[in-house]
Parts: sequence; structure tokens; C-alpha cells
Amino acid sequence: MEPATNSLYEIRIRPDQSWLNPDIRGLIEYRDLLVMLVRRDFVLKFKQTVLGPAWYLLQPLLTTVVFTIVFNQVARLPTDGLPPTLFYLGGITIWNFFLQNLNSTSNTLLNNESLYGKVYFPRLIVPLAITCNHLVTFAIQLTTLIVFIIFFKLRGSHFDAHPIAALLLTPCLLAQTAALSLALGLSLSCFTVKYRDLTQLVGFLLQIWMYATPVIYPASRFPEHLRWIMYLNPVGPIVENFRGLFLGVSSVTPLQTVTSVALTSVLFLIGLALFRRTERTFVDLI
Amino acid sequence: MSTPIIEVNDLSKRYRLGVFNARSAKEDFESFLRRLKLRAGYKEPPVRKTGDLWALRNLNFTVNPGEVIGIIGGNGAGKSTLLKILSRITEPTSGEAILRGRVGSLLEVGTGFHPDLTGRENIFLNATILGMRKEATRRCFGDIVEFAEVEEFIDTPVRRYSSGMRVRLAFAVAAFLEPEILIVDEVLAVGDESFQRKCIGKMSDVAKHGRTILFVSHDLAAVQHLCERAIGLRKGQMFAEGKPAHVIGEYLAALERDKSTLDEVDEYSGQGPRIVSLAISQGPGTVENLLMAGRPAHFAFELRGSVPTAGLTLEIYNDSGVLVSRLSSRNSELEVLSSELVLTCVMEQLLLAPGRYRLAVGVYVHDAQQRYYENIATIEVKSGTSNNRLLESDGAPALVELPHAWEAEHLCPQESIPV
Repeated sequence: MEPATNSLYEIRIRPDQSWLNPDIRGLIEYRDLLVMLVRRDFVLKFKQTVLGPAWYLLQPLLTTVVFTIVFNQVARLPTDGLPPTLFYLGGITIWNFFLQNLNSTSNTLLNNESLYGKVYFPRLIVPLAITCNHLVTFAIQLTTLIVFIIFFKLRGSHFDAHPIAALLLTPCLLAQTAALSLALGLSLSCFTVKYRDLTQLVGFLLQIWMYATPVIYPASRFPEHLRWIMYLNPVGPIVENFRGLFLGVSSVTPLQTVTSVALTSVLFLIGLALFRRTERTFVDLI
Repeated sequence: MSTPIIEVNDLSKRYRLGVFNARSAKEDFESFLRRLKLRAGYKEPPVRKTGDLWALRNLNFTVNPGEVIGIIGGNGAGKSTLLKILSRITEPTSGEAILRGRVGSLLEVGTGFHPDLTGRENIFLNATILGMRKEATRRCFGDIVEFAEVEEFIDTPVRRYSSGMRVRLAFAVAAFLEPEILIVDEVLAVGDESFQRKCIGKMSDVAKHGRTILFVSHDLAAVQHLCERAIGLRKGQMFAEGKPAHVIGEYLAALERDKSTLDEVDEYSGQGPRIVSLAISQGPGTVENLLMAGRPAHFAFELRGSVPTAGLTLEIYNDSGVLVSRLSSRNSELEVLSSELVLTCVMEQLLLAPGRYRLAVGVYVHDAQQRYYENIATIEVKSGTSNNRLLESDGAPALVELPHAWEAEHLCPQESIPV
């Protein structure tokens, strides 16, 4: 059976291709691979660890307990009038997604040398698979949050949840967070492939970043002269808005949100362009 | 004439060596440490030189649908770079390549295999990575498992497989890829004899079905057997094209003309005496790197900058990396009287079994190693003749060919033996 040479199918391999083109067609063509990679990572998580699936729930809960004790009880940081558990859990849920996605994607090119160097597929598939993975983790942790909210509501706590708004706007918030963490992760991976010790620097910076984000304290605590942080740090408005949707209290201004979205978009374009440019020849570096 | 399925126009690829390693305080400190280690006689990995390396230079050729093309050339000829560009793993520096069919690349067996996943899971994963659709994989699943002969273990994690099973499984997946263009890079060098034959058989099957195959190999016999056309590359340029026999002939003839240029080989920037050339000979008419077992052999090293206490150690490794012999000039009563000389290792009989060997040389001054040439030359040893009859090697891997003769002593009176 002769395979027909599709006369319409032609690929020209040459230098200087456009940077900004995300090759959507390629991504769709390789969608099977995307699904397979996501599935593989989940299967491995279950197979390789004893705690595996339980860790998704344990980690945010344990962190919440620690935060409550340390920051609320000992350091006496306020929580905008909300029950501390909910305050911290809410912040952690969205921050975790951002943090882990950024961490994982920032090593993409470095960690997948063996794959990228031997076979062609759109390089973006791997970071996208990672992001999908983290989205599923987020979904699980969000469910936990909702369970806690219901629990607290039933016990009579006073706070405004906006379930409908939450339902509609969480996907947007999520998309923005994904775009932001992916953008930064893609950009960083272009550098970590050359300078491996950057990976440690990234871990360190992320720890500091958490302190600049209203995760362990509400944004209302920012003194006047430090309000600019909410403009410069795109994650700040994201976290506040998230808590606002689910717990009813946030002190982020519309301008801050808009700035955050604008910053995310710019960073995303930069990250995409940088990655597309590096992916074509980074194999020569390894 | 149909449109070519592959067109390579003026394709060039340049690698920049050393440039991307930014000089930093860390690097300087490291080279300082390296110098200290040198003095203590440690062996060090080569230091990269800076500069440009043109792996491919203005390459031009076309491939028509259904052709099976072999690509041959020595190390560093540009074969792997060409395959990487055609597989879209890296980009050319200039020129272009046009592909008019889907490409399936086999540059390594088992890409993406994960030890904790079962054989079944890995088949799907590997197939998808290589570009197969899920439907196609499901359809061929049974055939793949059968080809790999792993039916009983298909649902155990791959980490429990023997290395042979892993290789068979990986190749089986790749064998059932259905691209229009198949690019294969030396992967047939894995696995045992019977499996290799199976793979070659499968490849010629695939070829008969009209797929285009680009086949890179050091195994000139396989190229001759499978390919209808061949391309010879040297230093990034094509030196011959046409029937495999013709290209192979040109390639071997060129080996004879070339002397190994040691500037490229000398990646280790040390101090002390330098080897500037190596001449390997078995008498007049030697094709330089093709030697006969059992015959005398000379390895002549030309040295510059030598000192009275200098010595050479010649190491011979077989292609499994086993050190077959280490021959040191320091054990002989040599007197080095000038700084430029030729040190020759003279063997009355080259006792190596047929196969490919890598030669490495260490240069010593006063028992401390100054330089190390990890891969100064590779030689191919063929069965020698004894009493003018060609000896056949029966294919079993051996290290040496010991000088011997067979004798018969009859234990009962001579009688006619029933045949």
C-alpha cells in the first residue's frame, strides 16, 4: 500500500522564522501528546509516592495550620475580619498554583533535554502539560476550600461569599494566573538552560516574592507609602481578587487589577517570544 | 519525474564553540584548579576551544519518494547534524530544507520511556511522542508487542525489563511508525545479532512499501544491502553521491589519503610534548585505518617539544570500551635525544581480533601525564590471511587473535571414515 505523498503538505525548514507565532496548528496536531503527558504525570505521581494523591490535600492544609499559628496567633497579623483558616487557605490555594506552575515550567528546557534533543514536537506542549497538571491540582484544592467555606458558613461565620461571581470570574482569574506563571516560567527556562545555577536563584526569589504578595496578610495592611507594590506585583491583585470572590473581602482597586492584567499580557508576549526563539536552537547548547 | 520528497538547498549549520560559556570568576577559578591538578598528574576532560565549527556547508541534494538513501561519513562529517535539521530538532544557520511528507525520526531508541510505567503505557507514550496518532497505535499494538517478543511482560513496569527487552520494545514501536519519510540514525547498532537482522528486515519491508528512508550508519555492509543510493559526507560537505558501492569506495579511498590531523584531535590543552601526526602502516599499500590481524603493524607518532624523560603510552580500546592493551614506551630502553622525533610502536603481529578499535595515547614526562589524546585514531581490523587463504571470522566477539596452529594426532589406525 503506497502512502500518498500529499502534494499540499510541505514544510520549509529555514532560519529566521517569526518569533511571536505560537504555532497553534502544531499544538492542535499534537493534542494527543498533551493528553498523554498530563496523564503520565498523574499516573507517575500515584505510582511513585505513598502519599501521592493525599499530598494534594495535606500540603495546603498543613501550611494553613502553620500560618494560622505563626502569623495570626503569634505575630498577630489581622486577616481582614475573616476567620484565619479561610483567609490563609484562600491565599494559599491561588498562590500555590502560581508558585508551582512557575517553578515547574522554569526548568522545562533543562529537564527535558533528552526528549527535546531526539524528537520533534512543538516544544510548548511540555510546559502546557505541566500547566494542565497544576490546574487539576488547583481544582482539587479549590474544592477543599469550598468545603471549608461551607463548613464555616454552617457554623455561623459572617462573611460574604459571591458564588455566582466566583463561578464566572474564577476562570478568568485562573487564566491570568496561568498566563503569568507560564510567561515567567518560559522566560526563565531560556536562561536556566545556559546557566544552571539560576534554578536555585529562582527558588529563593519565589520565597521572597511571597512576602511581597498579600498571602499572609491582607492588602489593607499596606501603609500608604507601600501601596505601589500592588501595582508592581501582578500577583497581588490576583490573590486579593480571589479572596474577594470567595470570601467577600478585598481591598484591591480596579486600577490595580487592570495594571495587573496589562502587565500579565506584556509578560506573556515576551515569554512566548523568548521561548519560541530559544527553542529552535537550544539543542545546540546541550 | 515526480516532485522530490526532500530537497536540501545550500544547507549550512554553524556551531559556535565556547562563546556561550561566559567567562566568569567561577570559570577562572576552575581553570586555576585544573592547572594544579595537571601538575599532580590527573586526567582531565577536554577544555572547549572557542571559534566556529561549520558542521554543514552548502549541502545540496534531493530525494525522490520511495528512495532509500544511505548517508555515510566519518566522525564529525555532519551526518547527525543533517538528521537533526531534517527532524526539526535544530535550525540551520542558512539555506533551506523542504520536506513534502511527514517525518518520523529514529535518532535514539526509547525516547521518553519511563521506568515506572508498564510496557503497555510506554508503548503509547513513545508512539505518541514519535508522532503516531492514538488510533494508529491501538491498531498496531498487537503487532508491536509481537515484534518485540514481550507479550508476557507487557503489563509490568519497564524498570524490570532486561536491557535487551527495552531495546526491542523501543525499536518495535518505531518500526510501526507510518510516516512518509523515515530517518534512522545508527539505532541498528543496538541489540543482538538476531534482533539486528530482524530490524534490517523490517526496514527493507518498510522500504518496499514505498516509504522514503534516510539511513545513517557506520555499518557499510548494511548501507550496501539496504540502500539504492548513497551520499558521502566529509567535514559538512558532500564528497560523493550515487550508487552505494561507488560512494563506499570513494570513502575508503579517502581514508587512505587522509592523515589524521591532530589539531582537531588535540582538545586537551596541556603542556609538554605534542603529537603532531600519527602514521599507521602495515607495509606498502596499507589503507590507513584498515588493518589485517596477524600482520606486522607500525604506529609512528611524530613528537614536537620532547624532552629526555618523555614517553608515550598507547591504549587500545575495543568498541565495548574494554581496554585490550596498554603499551608503554617507558618500559623500553629508549633514549630521547632531541625535541623533535618520531616514536614508533612496532608490532610483529597485530594480534587484535577483527572489529573496530579506538586508540588513545598519553604523553608522559617523568611518569607524570602531560597530555591525553582520548581518540587519536580509530582502526578497523579485518581477518588476516594465513598461508594466502582468507580467514573467516565466525562473528563471535573476541579480544585477541592468538598466534596458533592446529595439529592432529590419530589414535587408531588410518581407516576410511564413512561420510
